[in-house]
Amino acid sequence: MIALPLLPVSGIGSLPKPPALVKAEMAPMHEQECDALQAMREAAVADWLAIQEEAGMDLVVDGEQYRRSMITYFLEGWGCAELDPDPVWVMDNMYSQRGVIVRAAARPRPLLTDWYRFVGARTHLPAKLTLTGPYTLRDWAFDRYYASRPAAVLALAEYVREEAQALAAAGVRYLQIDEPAFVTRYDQPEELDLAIAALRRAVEGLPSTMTILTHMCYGAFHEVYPRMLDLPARVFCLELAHASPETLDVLLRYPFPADRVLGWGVVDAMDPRVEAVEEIEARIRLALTYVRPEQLWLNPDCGLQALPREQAIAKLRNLVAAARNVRRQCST
Amino acid sequence: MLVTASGRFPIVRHGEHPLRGALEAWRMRGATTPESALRDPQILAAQAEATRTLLAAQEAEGVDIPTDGYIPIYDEWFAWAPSLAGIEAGGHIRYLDTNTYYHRWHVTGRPRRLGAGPAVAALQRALALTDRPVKPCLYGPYTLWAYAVKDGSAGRAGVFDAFVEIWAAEVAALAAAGTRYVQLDESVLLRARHRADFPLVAAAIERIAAAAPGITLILHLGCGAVGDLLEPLLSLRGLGGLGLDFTDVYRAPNLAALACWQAGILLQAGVVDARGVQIEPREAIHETLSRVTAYVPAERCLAAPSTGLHYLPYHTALEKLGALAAASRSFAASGREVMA
Repeated sequence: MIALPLLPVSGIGSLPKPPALVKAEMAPMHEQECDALQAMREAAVADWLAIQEEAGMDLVVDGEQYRRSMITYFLEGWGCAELDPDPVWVMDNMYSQRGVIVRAAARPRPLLTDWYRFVGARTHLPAKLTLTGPYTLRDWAFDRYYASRPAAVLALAEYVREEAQALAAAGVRYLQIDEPAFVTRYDQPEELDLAIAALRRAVEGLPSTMTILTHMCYGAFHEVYPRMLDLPARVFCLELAHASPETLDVLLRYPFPADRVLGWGVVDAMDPRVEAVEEIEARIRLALTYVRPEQLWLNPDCGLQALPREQAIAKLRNLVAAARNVRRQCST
Repeated sequence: MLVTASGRFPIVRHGEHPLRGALEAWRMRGATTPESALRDPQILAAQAEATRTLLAAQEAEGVDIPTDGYIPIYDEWFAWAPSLAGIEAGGHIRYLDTNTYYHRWHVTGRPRRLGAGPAVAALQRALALTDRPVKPCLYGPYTLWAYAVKDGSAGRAGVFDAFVEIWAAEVAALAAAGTRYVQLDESVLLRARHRADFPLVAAAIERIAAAAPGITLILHLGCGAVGDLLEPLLSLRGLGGLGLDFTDVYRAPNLAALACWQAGILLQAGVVDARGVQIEPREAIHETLSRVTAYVPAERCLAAPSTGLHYLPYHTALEKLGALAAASRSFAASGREVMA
């Protein structure tokens, strides 16, 4: 197995999809050809694996090319939700169809193991698989089925757990469970308790050889730090390219624990402007004033799906170049 | 009992975005900055057409006080920033727990109003299309201030003061343009860590209300429990109405809080849940209105969704609005508010 270098670089999860794939996914369900769609998705994953290898990433992701969204992919796949036909505003001019939970999982089965094998057959680099956490899965869907939010979150935790167990059995070493909704009800302690309990259940029994990561973005981290450290993850990948003064302040007051790793977002995932290598280096050096090099992983702020393909590639390349420059300085 | 909407609307139906063609044409022309979209004639025309559709939809569903049907480019925060000095539209931040993302303001100097924000133009468009009183809905100065990156030289207190000055001028401009109602959304105030800032919000509301004394200024506090803030809110000078959420987990605490209601201002009662897809049955809406009107006279109540409907799919939003209007009318006709 390839060991990760100092300041390892990886994507967060999503990467831009080819326009033809987006168009095919937008077609009415009865017009979609499953085999053709699957072939397009496989080609898109393979393409991004090659790009990441060429860019010099240390840990690759599959780019989530086969997911319409990080929520509906799982809820639909497990058979517990239906898609509302009218998409809902998310940000800027982006709209997304939301899942509506209408029943318990009808066919809980691992969705990701085949994709993990697909990735493993096409790259020699270690791969990071991404799953959406139970709290976020409930929070970003509508629910017509469960009697309460806690009931829904804890039920979803069981499905996430099944998925994680299957990935462990398939040999996954790096598993990122995204919980961006964790930062949204920061002043409701019972909600934070619920999110933590659900994620603990989801990772229960996973082998110690598996590195658990979590990811959060676009929230006021200082409101949930250091409480977020109660989440059962070793690596916390956060959106920090434009870290707020409040977040930096709280990181000074409560230093990041030595036995955890901070995945510092050093590339803006929404702004198409490609940051210069020097600009990214400056962000890495800022991060190194808060954690030791051994505790620092590097990533974009979030998945790069909202960016044009060429800008996303350029950002990954510059991220790798910046990481290598700083890595050299750290080892001299 | 009149019926009103509470904020922005969803606009995409079956994948059709009313501004899509104009936005694509704008991109094809090689637009270099997102801000240029705010002045693009084709986009402005598409916005106007979409406004017409949203106003017609509200009227068809029976809304007495419609919102302006404004569809911002990107979002309301982004769209307003170019009308101000000392403000730049910055990166995204998630708004409350909504899974929607706004461009937070980056304060680069003392903020100052350069001219009317987009809400004034939106109001003028809407007023030309309907005889009903149109209610512009704006996020309030505290919300924008709370979310802003404030590393400029003006200082935190100075920045807030400047924000209030901007809002006072904007609301005065809306009044001059002909509105009778303005809604300011400061829902973030009900979050635990923000409640201590109530004195800031109180002073801001009084100052803004004083700038436009002829209108009914409604402070909207959705997605939260008002609790002990209700009493001091009711004594604010110039406040014409208060929007509260009587749905989901906030229903019981906000109904309980109404016991101290002794004001003559309007209560904009959020009685259908703008965050959930279940359509409330008429009986459930009647029940809530009955509880509300036990404390607030029906003629001082506006029946409303709990917040802006843009968190919902289009068809659900309209269905909710229709259910709200029908239930409110049948409730009023039944005379139950008198009995309560």
